[in-house]
Amino acid sequence: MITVDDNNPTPPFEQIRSQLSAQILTGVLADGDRLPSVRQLASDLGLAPGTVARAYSILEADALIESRRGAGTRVRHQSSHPRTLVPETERFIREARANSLTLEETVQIIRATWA
Amino acid sequence: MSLIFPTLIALAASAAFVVIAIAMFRRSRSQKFPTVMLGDSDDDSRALLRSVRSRMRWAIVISTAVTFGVAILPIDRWGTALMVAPGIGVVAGLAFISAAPLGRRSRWPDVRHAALAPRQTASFGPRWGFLLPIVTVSSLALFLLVTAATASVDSFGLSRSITVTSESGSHSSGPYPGWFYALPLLIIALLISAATLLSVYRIASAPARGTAETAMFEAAARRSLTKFSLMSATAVIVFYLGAIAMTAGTAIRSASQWTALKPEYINDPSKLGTPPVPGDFLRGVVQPQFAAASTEVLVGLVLIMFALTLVLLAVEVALRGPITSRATPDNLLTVSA
Repeated sequence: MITVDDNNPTPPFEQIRSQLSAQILTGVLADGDRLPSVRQLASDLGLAPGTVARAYSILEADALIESRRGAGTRVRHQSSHPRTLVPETERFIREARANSLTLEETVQIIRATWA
Repeated sequence: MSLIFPTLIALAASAAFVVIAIAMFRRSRSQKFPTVMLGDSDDDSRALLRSVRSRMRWAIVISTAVTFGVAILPIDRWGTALMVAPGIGVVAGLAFISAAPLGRRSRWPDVRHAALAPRQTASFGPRWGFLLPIVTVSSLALFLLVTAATASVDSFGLSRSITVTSESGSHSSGPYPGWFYALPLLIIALLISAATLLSVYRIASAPARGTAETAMFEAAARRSLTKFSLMSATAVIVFYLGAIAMTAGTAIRSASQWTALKPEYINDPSKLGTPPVPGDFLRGVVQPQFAAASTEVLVGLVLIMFALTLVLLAVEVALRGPITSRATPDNLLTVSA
């Protein structure tokens, strides 16, 4: 899932780039996963196609994704994080949110448990 | 007697079709659908469900109105308008669906979400659902090319009759789907294919509503619309295939039956009584054309039954929409997956 917030001072293309980049680097999006087309993502987010295309071209320059005419856009990055951690982390975050914890409070729990 | 076996085959095929249709109904009803709680304030989801159902119902109204409107056009006296009417009707309905499959957004929220799953034309229907119209359009085109190639010219100079040669001479009968009927039907088949493709593409590519909560409703709405479009298009194409098979079969059956005076009356016409009685004539059928034509008529009937069942299924999808049941409490809706 990608979120764009109009109230966020960060430009929309950067919001998209940073979220996609984080999902690729943490293994939420795995190597070879297909991304939506520029047109689809732009229409779903109510943005101009050029905005999404700009985010995709930066990710491509960072060698995180690869676009091929006719084959669409795919993730081209092998995350060092084990993918099995992702669903566990998501479950943990859902639990934290259900208990109305903030990000800082949740990280504190992790730090305390880690030690 | 020669009609008994094809009749039995057609009845068996019809019975098999009814059994398959009932099995499909039961299977679709017994599927486990995800249940989603809709809050009273979740206007977006409710509006989406309402919009999709009303869109399909309007598509049926438009298709029916256009079909009847075209059918009564006084274009010619050979039934061309009546023939193309259902095709133009379904194209109009599909065009209406394509215009705005999920309706238009009234407002964009400040915070918007988008799923990262690519949506493609074939994403919202089973593979067989896309295969069926392709197979039926190809069969219709092949059938029309064969009938057009075997047709003969009638007394008006139009390619709309069939001539069968027997021992008593040549016999022509019509209407037969020669080029006069085949060409407009091929164009209609092409139009239906294009309208169906556009419709399923537009359903898949229509912008999402932008909230994570409505994602499941949206997917269900897209599946319902895709099913509706594919069923409507397939129903009309199968109907054409059945109607053409029946028309061709009837014409060939008629042309392959012959009646001739007995040879003794031809040699000595004075022996012929006035008026002639049935016993004065020889009657016969040209085989295997007659048997093949009889089978064609029965297969056509089965195909028309199949088409009518598909129409009923499409209407059922339109009436039900993405919602399969409404349970208590009032805000619990079941959405087909």
